[in-house]
Amino acid sequence: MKNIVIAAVALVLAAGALGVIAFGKLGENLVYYWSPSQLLAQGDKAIGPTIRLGGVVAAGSIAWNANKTHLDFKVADGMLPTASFVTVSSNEIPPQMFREGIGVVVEGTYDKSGVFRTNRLMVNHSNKYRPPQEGQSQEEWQKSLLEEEPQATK
Amino acid sequence: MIPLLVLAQAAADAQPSPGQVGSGRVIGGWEFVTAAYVLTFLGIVLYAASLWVRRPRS
Amino acid sequence: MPSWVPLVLLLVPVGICLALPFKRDLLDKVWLVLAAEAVFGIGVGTYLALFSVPPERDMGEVVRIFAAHVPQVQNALLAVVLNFGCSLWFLIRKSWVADSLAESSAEVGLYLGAVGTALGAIWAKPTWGVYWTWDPRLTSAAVMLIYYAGYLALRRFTDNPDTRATWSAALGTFGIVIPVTVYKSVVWMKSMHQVQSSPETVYPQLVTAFRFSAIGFLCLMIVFIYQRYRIAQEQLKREVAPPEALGAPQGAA
Repeated sequence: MKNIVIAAVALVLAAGALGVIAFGKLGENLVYYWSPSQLLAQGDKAIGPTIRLGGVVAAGSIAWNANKTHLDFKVADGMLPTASFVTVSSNEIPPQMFREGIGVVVEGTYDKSGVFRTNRLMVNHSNKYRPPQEGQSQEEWQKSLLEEEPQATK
Repeated sequence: MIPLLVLAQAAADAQPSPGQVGSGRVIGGWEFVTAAYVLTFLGIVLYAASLWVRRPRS
Repeated sequence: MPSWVPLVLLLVPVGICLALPFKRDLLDKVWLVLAAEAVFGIGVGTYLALFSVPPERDMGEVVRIFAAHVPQVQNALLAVVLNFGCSLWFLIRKSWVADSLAESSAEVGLYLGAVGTALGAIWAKPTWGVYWTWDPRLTSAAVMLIYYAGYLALRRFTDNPDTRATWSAALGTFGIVIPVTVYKSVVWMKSMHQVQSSPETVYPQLVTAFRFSAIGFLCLMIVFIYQRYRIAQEQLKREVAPPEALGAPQGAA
């Protein structure tokens, strides 16, 4: 009988904990990254502390300096040209998968001039895995990549 | 492969060529694949050995 | 090879597990069959993943880690869910078979989870650019490893089989929070880790390699849990437990 009570208590606690994790405000308080629009909505609160920003590398926004040690690009909410974006400035060498239209999460600080400075640039991969297409040129490939929504826009 | 390289050269100022950092493709990386499978098999062998050492002796 | 072919291999472990409640000493005889299928499945899966699957469009060669990382973390979650089932079973029926199985599945789940998570870190470096980041999936996976390491450590602190079984069963029952959170974290929260893949989102050659490997690891998990279970039963016997502790049929001899 005592053991049944233990089982019931453990199950109730487990259900409660799962409820909090799944439906509670936990996600809002312990958010892993902000999207560009969420960051912009924070106003001055976002300036200063180390935070993470996640989104898509906006098409045509990647600008390297001459010797490729410094990189500026825009992280946007989505692939639409009208999506809100934040300009990111990075001294970090990006991972090889970095390109236009891919999902990224950057860790760093947002400053008053509206630039997000990062020294930790991460690229995420969607749950889609494909073999390379036969005979597809680099340009066609680059173009095909821009047609899909990356993970970080969810 | 050759037309691919030519195209990449042509676009070199706009975007990095394949294999370069930030090209959008991971080139190579076999050392990570090897490490992953070595670790996998090492894990199997070591855990199996630990079960063998602790086996019931009755 | 069509990607459904390896699914035929599922018949063996699933059939054995379904028959097990009716014939509890079944594994004493057929565990070697499962061990052979584990070697075969993992062997073929690894061979295909390393030498036959074409490189992925963005990830290139490192996609091959898929066929080792995913099966191990999946089976780790399965083992931990089994620990939950056995914990509940012990609390309701006070079955010592359940207690031994709970201990075994926690240990095997911890081992597979630790290797699977380490493989995830190895895979993350060339793709994400970092070995580790505290996103919800990785954080919950780390919590899982710590929780079940703690569960096993706690079992060692208690000499009384009764107390040990009851309190570890309470931990194991509450522990269901963790595998569910690990599994669902990518859906519930924003994370670095991608959401679950499915055969529709993965190219067929990789699906085939993955399925061989996953079914191989399933067989391996069953064999490991079975062998670990025998050790747990032996320990219970040594502890001069009451006669009902010899719940396993092979203990009757």
